[in-house]
Amino acid sequence: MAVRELLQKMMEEYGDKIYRLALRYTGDVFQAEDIAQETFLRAYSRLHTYDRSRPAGPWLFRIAVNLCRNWSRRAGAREMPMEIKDEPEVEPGPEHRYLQRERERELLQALHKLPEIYRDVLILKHVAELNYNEICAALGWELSLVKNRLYRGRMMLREALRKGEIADA
Amino acid sequence: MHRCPDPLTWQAVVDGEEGGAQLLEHLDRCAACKAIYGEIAEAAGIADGLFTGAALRPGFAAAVLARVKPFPAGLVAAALFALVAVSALLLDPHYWHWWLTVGMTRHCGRLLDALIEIVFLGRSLGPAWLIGAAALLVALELVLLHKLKTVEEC
Repeated sequence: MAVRELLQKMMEEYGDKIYRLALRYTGDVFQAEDIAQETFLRAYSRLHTYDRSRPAGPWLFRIAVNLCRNWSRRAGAREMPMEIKDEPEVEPGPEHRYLQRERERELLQALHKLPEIYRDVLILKHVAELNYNEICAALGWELSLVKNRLYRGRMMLREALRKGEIADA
Repeated sequence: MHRCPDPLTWQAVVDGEEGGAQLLEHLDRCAACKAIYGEIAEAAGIADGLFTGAALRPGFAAAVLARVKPFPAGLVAAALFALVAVSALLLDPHYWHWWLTVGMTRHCGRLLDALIEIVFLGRSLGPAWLIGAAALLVALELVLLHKLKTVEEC
């Protein structure tokens, strides 16, 4: 398969997932698209490092996570956006929409307060929908570490939301 | 199953990564494990809220492909081949004979075949490696020719 065809196939298969992952890191559709684009451009220039006998997903997610981490570090000084700008509305009714946005904002706020290692694993599991082995390959971690950090990350996220609810009350 | 599995095992069950009949039987019988399972399922449910169905705009793939520039392998290979030939000619036209007899042409041909196969047929070895390999060949040739010249002068 020619290189450009391979890249196109990768974009068809993983483009949306990588975009969603970047969207959860950045909270901005334009930044997310930039990161998705950069992911595939880097993948193209590093195709010689990709083992074609394996699925491309974990390899691409590894590139995307690194780009997102870099973005987060650069954006560290700025306020992290806590809601998705310009995401298309999907639910009917303004009240429902408001409540949904509010819940999403709280969830993202809690997520971005977590240490990077927990944030990465939660995003790969719940946004990119990778299984344990794919997360291992994408982050270069042992299986036991992935399970442990996923567990702790989920508990910390739940705790952070509970604290937020108490503070709101 | 007499001993209770650890929370990470229950997490794997929640995530659909594990789900043996023994585990599920134990879960039915053990209240403590049921409570742990419930907590994990609740936390996983909260984290599921992170999912978004957002999709890339149409035309994204075309935009990326437009920014991808294919490596001009043919041009680079031709330039390097010319460089090898000119360097041999500049050192001494007489060495063309030596160049042919030691089979350098065959080796260069193989390198070119590899270039074509790798780049044009899509196996995409890093372009830097290709240029590096060809440049090494040029350097090797120059060193050999220089040595030969030195030996002859002696």
